[in-house]
Amino acid sequence: MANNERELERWVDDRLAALTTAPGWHPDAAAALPRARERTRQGSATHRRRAWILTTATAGLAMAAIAVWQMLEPKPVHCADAPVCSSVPAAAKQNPVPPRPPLPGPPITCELFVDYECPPCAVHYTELVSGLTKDFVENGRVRLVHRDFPLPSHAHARDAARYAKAAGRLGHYDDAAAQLFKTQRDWSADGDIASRLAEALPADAMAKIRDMVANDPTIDAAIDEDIAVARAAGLHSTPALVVITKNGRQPITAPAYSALKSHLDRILEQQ
Amino acid sequence: MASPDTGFEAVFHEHYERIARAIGRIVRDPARAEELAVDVFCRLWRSPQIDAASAGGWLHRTAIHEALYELRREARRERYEKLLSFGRRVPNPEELHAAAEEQQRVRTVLAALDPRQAEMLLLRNSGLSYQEVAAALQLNPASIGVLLGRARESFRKEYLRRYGK
Repeated sequence: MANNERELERWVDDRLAALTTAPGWHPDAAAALPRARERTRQGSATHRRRAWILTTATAGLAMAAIAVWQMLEPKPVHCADAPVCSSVPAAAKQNPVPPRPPLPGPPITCELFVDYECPPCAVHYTELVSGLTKDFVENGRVRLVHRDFPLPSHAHARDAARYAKAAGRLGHYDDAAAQLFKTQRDWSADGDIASRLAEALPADAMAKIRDMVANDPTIDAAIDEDIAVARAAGLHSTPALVVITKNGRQPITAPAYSALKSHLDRILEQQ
Repeated sequence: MASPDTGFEAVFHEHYERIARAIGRIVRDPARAEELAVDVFCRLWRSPQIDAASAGGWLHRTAIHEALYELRREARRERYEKLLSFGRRVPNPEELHAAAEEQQRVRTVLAALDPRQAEMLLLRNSGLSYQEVAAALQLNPASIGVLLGRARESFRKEYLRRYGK
C-alpha cells in the first residue's frame, strides 16, 4: 500500500475511533431474548395477515379478470335470436366437432431459482439456461420456469428481481437476466440497476419497466410467491432448481449442468 | 437435531452483545441500540435461508446497515427540528463535551456518505479482514482494497467539507 493510502487509512481510522459505546453500558442477551421472542411472534402474526390479504386480493383480481374475459369473449349466435340461421350450418348442428383434447405438456418442469446479485448465479446461469434450452426445452422434453429468490443478504437483489420480473412481462426476460448478471458487480456496488438494464433493452420497454417497478404492486406479489415456493421446497441458497415430474418435486441446489443433464436424461428414460 | 427455536436462541446468545455494541458505536442512545439489535435478530428469524455458519457475518452487516439508516433518520429529524425552531437548537450536555462533539461529527459524516461505503468502512473498522468484509457485502475480495480506498476518500472529503482541517 502506498504511503498516502496508509496515511488516509490512519486518518479515517483515527476519526472512526471516536465512535465508542456509552460508558457502563452492558447489553444483556438474557434480558433481551424475551423481547425478541415477543417480536417474532407478533411478526409471524403480521406476516400471516399480510399473506392472507395478498392471497385474497390476488384471488379477487383473478376472478375479475376471468369475468372481464368472459364478457369480451364473442357469444355464439343462436338460431332463436338471429333472423337467419345461415351462420350455423345444419350439418354442424347435427355433428358438432368434439372439443380438442388438451395438448400433452413436457413430462418434466424445471423451476430455476436465482438471485441476480448472487455471484455463483452469475457464473452458472448462462450454462444452465442455454444447456437446458438446447437439450431439453426446444425438443419439448422440459418446461423451464424462471423464479426469483432474492436473498436478504444482498442489498439490491430484491430491486433486481423487480426489474427482471417487469421485463419478463414485456417479453424481455432473457435479455434482462443476461444483462443483470453481466453487470452484476457494477450495480451491486452502486445500486444503479436501471441504467445498466437500459444499455440492453429498448427505450420504450425500459420506460414501461421503470413504471411497473415503481407503481405495480403485483410485481412484488409475484416475487413473494416465488420466494414462498422456494421456501416450501426447502431452498436456502441460489442457484437452485426444483425438478417436477409426475412423481413429485425434487429440489437441487447449485447444480452443475453436466450432472443435471444426466439426471434429467435418466428421468426421461424411465417415463 | 436442535429445533429452530434452540438454534435461534444459541445464535442470539452468541452474537447479541457484539451486535448491540456494533450498533451502539454508531447510534447515540444505548436503549435505541438494543431495540435495533433485537430488530436485526427478528429479521434473522424471518430469514430461514441464513444458516448458522453465515449468521455472524449476516448479523454484523445487517446491524451496521440498520444503524446507518437510523443515523440518517436522526439527521433528517434534526434538520426538520432546526427548520421548525427557526435555527435555534439547544445542544444537550453530551454535545457540549469535546470528545462527544467529534463523535457527532463522525456520525454526521457517516450519515451523509453513500450507505454502501459507510457500511464498508464500519465493517472494516470493526476488525473484519478484507475477506470477511467481502463475504459480508457479497463483493469480490480482489476489489475490496480499491473500494475501501474510495470509501475512505469519500469520508475524508465529506469530513473536511463540513468541518475543515
